[in-house]
Amino acid sequence: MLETELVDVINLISDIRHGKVYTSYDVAIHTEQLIEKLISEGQWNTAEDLMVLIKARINRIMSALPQESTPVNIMRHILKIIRELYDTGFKYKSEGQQSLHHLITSNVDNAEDYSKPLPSLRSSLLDHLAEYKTGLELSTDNIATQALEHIHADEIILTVGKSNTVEKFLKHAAEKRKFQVIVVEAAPLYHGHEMAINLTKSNIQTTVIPDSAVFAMMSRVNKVIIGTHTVMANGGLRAACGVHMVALAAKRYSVPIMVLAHMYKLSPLHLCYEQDAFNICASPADVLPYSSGPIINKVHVYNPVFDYVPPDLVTLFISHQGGNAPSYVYRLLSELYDPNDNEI
Amino acid sequence: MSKLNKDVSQKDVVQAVVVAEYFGNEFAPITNDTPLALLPLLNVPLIEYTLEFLSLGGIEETFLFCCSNVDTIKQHIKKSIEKSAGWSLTMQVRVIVSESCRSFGDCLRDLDAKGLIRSDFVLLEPGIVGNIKLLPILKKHVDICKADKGAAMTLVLQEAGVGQKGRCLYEELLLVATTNYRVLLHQKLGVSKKRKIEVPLEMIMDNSSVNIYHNLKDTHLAICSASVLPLFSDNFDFQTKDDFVRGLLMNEEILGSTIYWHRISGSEYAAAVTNWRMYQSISRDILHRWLYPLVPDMGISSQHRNYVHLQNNIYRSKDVHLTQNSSLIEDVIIGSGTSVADKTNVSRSIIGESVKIGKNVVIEDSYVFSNTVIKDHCDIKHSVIGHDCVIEPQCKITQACILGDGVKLHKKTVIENELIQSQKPKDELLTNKLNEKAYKLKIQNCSTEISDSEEDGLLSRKLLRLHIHEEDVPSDDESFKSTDSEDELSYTTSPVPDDTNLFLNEVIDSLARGFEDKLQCDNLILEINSSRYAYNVTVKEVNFNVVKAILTLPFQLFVGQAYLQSLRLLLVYFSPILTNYLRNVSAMGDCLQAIEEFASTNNELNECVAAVLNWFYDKDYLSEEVILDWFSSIDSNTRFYARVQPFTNWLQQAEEASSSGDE
Amino acid sequence: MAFKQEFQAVILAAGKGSRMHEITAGKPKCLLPIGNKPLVWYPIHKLQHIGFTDVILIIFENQKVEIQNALDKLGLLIKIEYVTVKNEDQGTADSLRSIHDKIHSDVLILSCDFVSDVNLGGILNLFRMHNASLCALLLNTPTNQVAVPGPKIKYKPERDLIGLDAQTNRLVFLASASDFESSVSLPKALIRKHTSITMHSNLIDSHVYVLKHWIIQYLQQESSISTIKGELLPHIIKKQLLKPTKVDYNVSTLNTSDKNDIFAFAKESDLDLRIRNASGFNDHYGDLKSSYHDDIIRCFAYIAEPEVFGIRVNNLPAYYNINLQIIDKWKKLSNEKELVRIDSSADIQSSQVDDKCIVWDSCKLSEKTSFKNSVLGSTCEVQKFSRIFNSVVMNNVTIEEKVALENCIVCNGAVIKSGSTIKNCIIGSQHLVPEESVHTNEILTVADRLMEL
Repeated sequence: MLETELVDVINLISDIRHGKVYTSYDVAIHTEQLIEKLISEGQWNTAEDLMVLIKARINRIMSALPQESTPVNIMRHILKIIRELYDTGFKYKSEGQQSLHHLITSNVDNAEDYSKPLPSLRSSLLDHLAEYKTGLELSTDNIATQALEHIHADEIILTVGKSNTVEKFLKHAAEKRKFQVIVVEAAPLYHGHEMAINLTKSNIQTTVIPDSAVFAMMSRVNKVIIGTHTVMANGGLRAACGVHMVALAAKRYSVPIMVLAHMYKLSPLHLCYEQDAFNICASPADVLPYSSGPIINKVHVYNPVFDYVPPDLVTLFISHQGGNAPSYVYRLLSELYDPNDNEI
Repeated sequence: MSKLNKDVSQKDVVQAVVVAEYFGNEFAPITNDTPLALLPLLNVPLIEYTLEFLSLGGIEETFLFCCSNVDTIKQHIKKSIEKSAGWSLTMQVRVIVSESCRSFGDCLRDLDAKGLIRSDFVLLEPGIVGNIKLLPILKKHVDICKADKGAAMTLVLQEAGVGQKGRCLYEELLLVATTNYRVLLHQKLGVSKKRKIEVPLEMIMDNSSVNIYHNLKDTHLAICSASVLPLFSDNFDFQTKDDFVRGLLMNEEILGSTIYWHRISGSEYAAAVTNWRMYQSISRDILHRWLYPLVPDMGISSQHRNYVHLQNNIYRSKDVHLTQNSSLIEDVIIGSGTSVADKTNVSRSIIGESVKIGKNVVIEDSYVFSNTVIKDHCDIKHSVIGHDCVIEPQCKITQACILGDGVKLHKKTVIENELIQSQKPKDELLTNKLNEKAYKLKIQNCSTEISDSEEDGLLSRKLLRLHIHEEDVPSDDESFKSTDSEDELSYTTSPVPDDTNLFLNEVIDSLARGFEDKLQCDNLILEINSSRYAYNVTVKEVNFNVVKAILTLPFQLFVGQAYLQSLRLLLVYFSPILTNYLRNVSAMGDCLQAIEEFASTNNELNECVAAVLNWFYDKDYLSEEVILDWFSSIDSNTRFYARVQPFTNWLQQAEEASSSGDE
Repeated sequence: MAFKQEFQAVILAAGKGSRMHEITAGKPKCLLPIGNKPLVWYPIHKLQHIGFTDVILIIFENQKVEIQNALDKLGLLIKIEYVTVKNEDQGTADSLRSIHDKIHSDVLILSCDFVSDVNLGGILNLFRMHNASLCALLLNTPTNQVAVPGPKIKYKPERDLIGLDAQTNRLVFLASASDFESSVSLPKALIRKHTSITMHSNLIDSHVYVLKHWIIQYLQQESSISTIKGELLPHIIKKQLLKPTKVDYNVSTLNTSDKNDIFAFAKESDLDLRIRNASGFNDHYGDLKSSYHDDIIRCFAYIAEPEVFGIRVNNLPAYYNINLQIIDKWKKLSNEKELVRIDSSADIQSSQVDDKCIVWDSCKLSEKTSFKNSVLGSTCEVQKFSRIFNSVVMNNVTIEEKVALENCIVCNGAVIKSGSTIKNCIIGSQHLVPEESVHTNEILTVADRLMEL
């Protein structure tokens, strides 16, 4: 598709690169608005047309920002919604959860033809989208309301770096319960400091520790609660740099790790479509400042942004629907996405 | 980070001026065809980096100033906008053309005449890459202007340690500033051989403390107030930005403008491609991701991922054709469509698009632009090869060669440290034809003057070229040996050496006058003696300096004539003086020392030293024993020694002859 | 059990006080009264307070008896060893050279005119921390200016240019501003080595130095150096840039000069060097050089905190100022000692002695006299109807009736006859001011005394 037709996506990509849209939540909202605009004002007649448009956009984003899974996940989910609405519009497939047997035995219906025009598609899509949007906006609060089930009095919770979701989660629990929080600094950006300041504003007793002290403190910790950037299809995480180390320490001391994951963070891909694109290295200036002199020319300095955490280290995923084990992620994926859309 | 600070640009649009025209021939012969703005840096034209940097930094309107190759640049900008380059979405670019400008200053004067700039703006020199967020710096500049009405410019500088390759040795910067970041002295030390730096005393006394910085790198970026352009228009001798800064600082009272500076910190980086050495170090810095988020694998402005970032900083395009035995060792970018054949090693190099590399080729520390063909068994080190070149098998291109576009080299060509271009240059005399499509180009310096500036010229060429050796060029004198004289270290002028110098000058004056006015030597002796008491000089020094003065006189009195003849005349005339002073052995020693010292700095004397010594010996001013003793003590490696040797050999034979004759 | 002392203290009190010769003529500078103690008491007390048990005091031969008597009366616990010099024009480094056989360890050098409440531990710790060759104490400029008695001359303070490396606080440049005419020249090598230097022009060198032992020995050899501040310090600071020549064992060298170069004296113990190499410590970043650039000679400067009070009483404004402020500053200067403002042996009949006055022993203050903010030395006599305001009166002064004295300094043994009105004057030692004389802003002394330098 021509670049001129993908202007909206290009603008979104540009905003993300410029840092105007930074948190996952903002990206999600912007993506949703983009899709809404596309559906309501775009040039399409059949479901097929619309899906082609969306797939083009997915490709464009993946080629520019392979690590940004949020917009791609949302668009995939929209594709699934389109298929569902189309199906309910024309056929009468059983709604509700498909059984495991059905999932395995149902072959990919390649000959699904989405090209019949369905006049009510546009409006029902927009309705669904509005619902989805509300779901998105309330996602953080929904997760936060589950806090009381997981955090008990006098517990010591460990968290890494800064996450808005975790912050709300802990603040919600702090209204009713008294507990302590240990925040890991998360070098080299030290976002943990901000997190600690925000937590103390809600009168939560907070301690900040450097990354090197995690193993030493882990024996006293009751739970680890973290956010993540993406949840991979096997239940593993693409999280901020340093989380893998915390997960290993927790495993060693049998401390449960709870990951707060929104639905739009679940990706159907295993380790990204091209292995080398899994991680980005940011500027080495955070690790070794440019003023360090001639040593800069003699060493290679890597500053990776993400960490891969294998699924066996994670105990529980908490989403707005409740808690799930990592081994259950495949089920969640099947509800969110259509298997035909995984390879675009 | 999701909110941009829009306080600065409430009504006015944030503007930047990029002078995209490069006045100089640093990059010849590549810039014969392409303007500097389109020079590929990691396979992306330089101007893309600049524009993307400005867009990321928050600029909304950019004026691109061009003087030559205007159409090429305009076309390129148009194409980029069509391809939805990242910067085109947030920033408007206007190309301003002026054919008659000859320097940076002219461009700014022209811009002032056009009256497009309304308020504070960001000024960029050609070839800047960076990732700085400009809006906070702009705001800081505005605050400074509110506090100090005369603030004209804020220089943006980056901290970089000594000896780091990111610093251009040619642009070593000395900055003296107050604690409020106001610049008092801004000096580019260059490669001057001077070992001392002068800082005006009142600069230090007027402020309770000043900071002297030598660890800063010039990013060639500056935030300017609206008064900068009129200042350029008023002063026609401001040709470059450095002239401007220097002029403003020197005439602070008259012009009433002050300059401030800002240090960028954290992960911010900025630099300018001003010569090949900077090109090399900036390429390496971008490869090492110092310019994040402007990194090759995220596409600079194209918003496509063109490369995959692998271990050891290897950036590989998707459709590169590599064979099993070929290896990309470290710090390599390979553009799309390139093929690398068997047993080839590529390290620390940048390979463009659609380049065909043959078997058994070694490419190290080089830059190969697109569409070039390099055939088997070639060796390319520390060089730049332009677009569309063809290098036949078994060529060796090493030691900072630069090949322009379209050059074809025949089989087995070996070139070292040459500039080659494919067209015949206009001036036939200066070239050397290698073949139909390869002509050697010699850039003429303004040399053929005295040795000093030629050395400087050559040295500066060396420094501007690609960096070959690990060590820096002028770093060896970093630490003094303890046998260095006190003068090297002292920063106050101590009275003693001055007196001796003054004494020497007095003697020279007296003798010169005496010779011209034909005065009696006795009177001259009296004059010299009274000078000696006035300056409190020891006897040894008197002898030494008298002889030295006589040796110096031919230059003063007989300008242009042969040294030896003139010296002979003088020696004859001043014989009574010599008789008076060279009375004993130690005096003779002083005389010889004077001759030795003078000869070491003076070629003319060096040539005829044997004859001079002979004359002294003949007239019995120096005896054999003294001469031979002295001879045995001088360093046998110098030319001086070689010159004196025939005389002393003769002397020795004569002595033996005379002594054997005696017996 | 004899411990090797870590530091030895030396107080240089052999100065002539040439910058305030009006009041030091014929009297040792170190005995000038400040408050109710002589000038030299302050540095001695400081040393005593920080824990020194011995101090070497260098004084003139002909002033020895007077000084010894005065100090004995003060009841100091510290043991003072008096060393005399004969030559008045000797420089401070020459004095150090003369006591070199008494010095066995690192030396803390104070000048007798140093009055301050700074904690000496700061500079000593800096010295220990970096194993420095020399350490200097720098003070911030005091801000107040008061009208000074004597003719109205503008006192231009001597300013020093002090260059410190911004990263490591090493002292890399020390010179007096008067050494330069229009520009300061710095060696390029200095700037390449210390890439960020802060040049101060407003700090005062307190003349408190801590020197390593080998500097005293080096001083023996360099007989041309005669003052510490003017020559020795800049010399050693410049030598920081040098590296010792590597000895080439294959070539036999003929040592043609008698002198050894400085690195024959400045040696670092092998163990220290190995510890430094083994540890990851580096005092600076920005180049690949090891800690301290591998310099054996390291000079540091300790800048006192802004709230610290310290001055060198070596000129008239300083002397006058400190006397006016002594009551306020006493507590800090004497480390919480009680101030005995009025000595018990003084006979005070007057009723108008305000609480800012200090009266030494054996004074006789008659009735109907009035004193404000003044210092009266020992054995003074003030007769009726006289007023003394804001003045410093030294020992053995007789002030007769109806004298009005304001903002003056009256030196030893002066006699002021009745009815005089003296304002803003300096009355020299042993001078007789005739009756009914009126003087303002003058120096009253015997004429030939003024020529004394």
